[in-house]
Amino acid sequence: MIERLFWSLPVTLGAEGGHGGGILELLGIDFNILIIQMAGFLLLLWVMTRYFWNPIQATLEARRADINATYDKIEADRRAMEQLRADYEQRLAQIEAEARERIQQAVGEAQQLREQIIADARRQADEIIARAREQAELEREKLTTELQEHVATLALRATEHLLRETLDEQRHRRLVQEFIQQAEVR
Amino acid sequence: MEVGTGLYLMGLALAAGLGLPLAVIGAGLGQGRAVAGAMEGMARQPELAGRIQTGMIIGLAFIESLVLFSFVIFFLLQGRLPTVTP
Amino acid sequence: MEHHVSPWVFAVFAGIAYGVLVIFALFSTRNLQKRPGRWQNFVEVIYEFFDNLAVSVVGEHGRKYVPLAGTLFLFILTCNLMGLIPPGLAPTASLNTTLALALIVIIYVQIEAIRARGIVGYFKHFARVGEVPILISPLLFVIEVVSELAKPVSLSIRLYANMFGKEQVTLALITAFAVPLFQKAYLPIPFQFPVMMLGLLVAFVQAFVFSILTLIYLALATEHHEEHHEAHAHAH
Repeated sequence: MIERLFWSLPVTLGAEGGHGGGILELLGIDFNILIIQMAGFLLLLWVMTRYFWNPIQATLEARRADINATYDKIEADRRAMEQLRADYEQRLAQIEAEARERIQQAVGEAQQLREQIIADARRQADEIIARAREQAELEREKLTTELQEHVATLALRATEHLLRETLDEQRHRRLVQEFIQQAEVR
Repeated sequence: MEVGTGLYLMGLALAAGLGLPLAVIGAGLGQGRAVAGAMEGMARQPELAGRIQTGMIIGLAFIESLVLFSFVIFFLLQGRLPTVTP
Repeated sequence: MEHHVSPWVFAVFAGIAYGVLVIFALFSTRNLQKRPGRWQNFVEVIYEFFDNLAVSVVGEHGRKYVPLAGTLFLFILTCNLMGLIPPGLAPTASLNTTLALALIVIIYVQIEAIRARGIVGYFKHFARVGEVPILISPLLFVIEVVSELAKPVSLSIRLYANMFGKEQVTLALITAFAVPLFQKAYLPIPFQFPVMMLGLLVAFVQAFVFSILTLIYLALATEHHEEHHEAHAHAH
C-alpha cells in the first residue's frame, strides 16, 4: 500500500538524461530487500535478546543480589561483633569495678587492723609501764621498809654497844624512831 | 535545444547547486547557536554536562537532518541533470 | 560519480553485519561469570550504558526497551564502521536498510502506544482529546498522523544521508585527487583520511542518535499512560 502511495507521486521533472520513474526508484528502494532487511533485523533482535541482553541482565541481577546478600551479611556480622564487644567491655568494666571494690575493702580492713594493732600495742605498753611503775613503787616501799628495819637494828646494836647502858626496850624504840624520823626529814 | 528547456536546465542546475549550500548556511548558524548554548550551560553547571551533551547531540542531529533532507533533494535534482560528454 | 552499486550488495553487507553481531553475542555470553573478566566487563558496560539511557529517557519501565535500543545501536554502528574499512560498504548507506530499521521501530512504537493506552486512548491521543478545544481536535489528528508518518522517514533518511554523504565525499576526494595522481583508488589514504576520521565520529553519533530517538519515541508513546494514572490517583 505504501508502495502504491509513493509510486503515485511521480517526479515529473522529465528532463533528458534523467532516470524518470518514482521517487522510490530514485532513492533506490527495493521492496524485496526492504522486507528481507526487516526480517533479518527482527531475527537479529531475537537472537541478541535471547543470547546477549537477557543473559547479561541475568548475570548483573545475580551479581546485584549476591552483593546485596554479602553486604547484608557483613552488616549483620559487624553488628553481632559490636554487640559482643560491648558485652565484653561491660563485663570487663564490671570485673574491674569488682576488683577495685575488693581492693578498697581489703585496704579498709588493713587500715582497721592497723589501727587496732596500734591501739593494742599502745594499751599493752601503757599497761607495762603502769605495772613497772607500780612494781617500782612497791620495790621502793619494800626497800624503804627494809632500810628502816636495817637502820633500826643497826642503830639499836650501835647504841647498845656504845652506851652499854640498858634501857628498857620501849624507850629504845622510841629513841630510834625519833632518830630515823629526823634522818628522814633531813 | 529549445530556449525553454535551456532555461529549465539552468534553473535546475542552480537549484541543485545552491539548495544544499543555503541549507548548510542555515544549519551551520543553527548548530553554532545550539552548541554555544550547550557549552554555556555546561560551563555554568558542569555536573549536568552529561545530560546537556546528550540533548545537544540530539538537537544537532535534528538540525543536521534538515541539511540531509536537502542533500537527498539535491541528489534527486542532480539525477535530473543531463550528463554532458565533452 | 553515480553509485552504480546494486542494492543487493548492501543487503549482503548487512547480512555480514548480522553474522558479526551474532558471533559477537554468542562469544560474549558463552561464559558469563559472577566475577567478570575483561571482555565481560566491556559487555556489561555496554549493557549498563543502555540501561541507564533507557531509564533516564523513558523512565523506570524503560528497562524492557534496552534490547531494542542496544541492538539498534550495535547493528548500526557495525554497519557504519564497515563503511570505513576499505573494501567494505556501509549497509546503512542504502535507504533499504535504514528504512527497514525505521519501519520496525515505528511499528513497535505504535504497538507499545496501543498497549499503554488502549486502542481508544491511542486514537484519542492523536486527536489530543481532552487537552484542546474539541473543534481543533480533527486538525490536530491530521497533524499528528502526518508527524507520526514523518518519523520513520526522518529517522531513515537521517541515517542514510549521513552515511551516503560520507561515502560520496570520500569517493569525490578519491576521484578528484587520488585517481589522477596515483592511478590507484586504494592508495590515497592521505586524501580520505580526514573524512574517514569524521566518518568515525559520525558512525558513533548516528548510531547513538538512532537508538536514543527510538527511546524518545517510545517514551512519548507510553508516557501518557503514567500521567493518566497519576491524575487518577490525584483525583481520588
